[in-house]
Amino acid sequence: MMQFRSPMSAARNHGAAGTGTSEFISERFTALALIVLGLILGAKLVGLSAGGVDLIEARTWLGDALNAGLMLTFFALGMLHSFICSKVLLEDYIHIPGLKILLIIALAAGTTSAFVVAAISILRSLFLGLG
Amino acid sequence: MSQGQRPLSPHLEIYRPLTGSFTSILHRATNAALLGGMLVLAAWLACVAAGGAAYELANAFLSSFIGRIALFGWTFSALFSAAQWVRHFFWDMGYGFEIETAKKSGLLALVFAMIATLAVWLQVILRGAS
Repeated sequence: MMQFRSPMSAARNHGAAGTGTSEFISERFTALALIVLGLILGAKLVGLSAGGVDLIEARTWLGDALNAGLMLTFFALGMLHSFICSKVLLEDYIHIPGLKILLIIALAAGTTSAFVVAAISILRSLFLGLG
Repeated sequence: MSQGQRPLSPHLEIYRPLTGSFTSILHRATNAALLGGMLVLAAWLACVAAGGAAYELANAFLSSFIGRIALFGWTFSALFSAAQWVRHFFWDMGYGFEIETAKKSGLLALVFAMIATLAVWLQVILRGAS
């Protein structure tokens, strides 16, 4: 059979030949941002968790716009980072092509949904606190 | 190229237990654990927003024995993942590939994550007691 596709077109957009670079950079930028955000949030949350967290304490904490903003940013970047990193695991260890794609779609749906749930909940608590 | 001839990513069973392979595998495992942790955190935030019985349920889970173990595990996972990413930043800039250096940085990442996890939880326990 005649080959109409050049080796270059077969390689393009697969890993290093294509869009992989932007994913590589996103993975590292989100990692760096999450380390900084994690340190800030960690320091704030260790203070909060004294003697267990009741509902009023949790809502008061999220009612502070700075805390809510930090948490929202942490979730946006955290879900993006989780998606990219977990996609690598699926790509590396699932060897059935159809199943691989299905699981990556499920991962995308899961991480996106978790972000939306978290964002709506954070904003709800923020407005409860302000209200 | 047929399925059987493709080069595969390294699997657990073909490795000798060395620092490099162990930290790499652990990083992958902590990634999976942290994805689960983020999903639980999203559910917790939803319970805070909902309040009432939903919050009681979330609180009961997190203060249970399994909940505490999970929180401890997520703390270690986050700290180890952070340390491992710092190693990656150096590798990306072209430093730290010498075998001895890579071994040392791997051990350092492990020791850091363990000590920092204990320090965080000691802080939580001490603040809870006072």
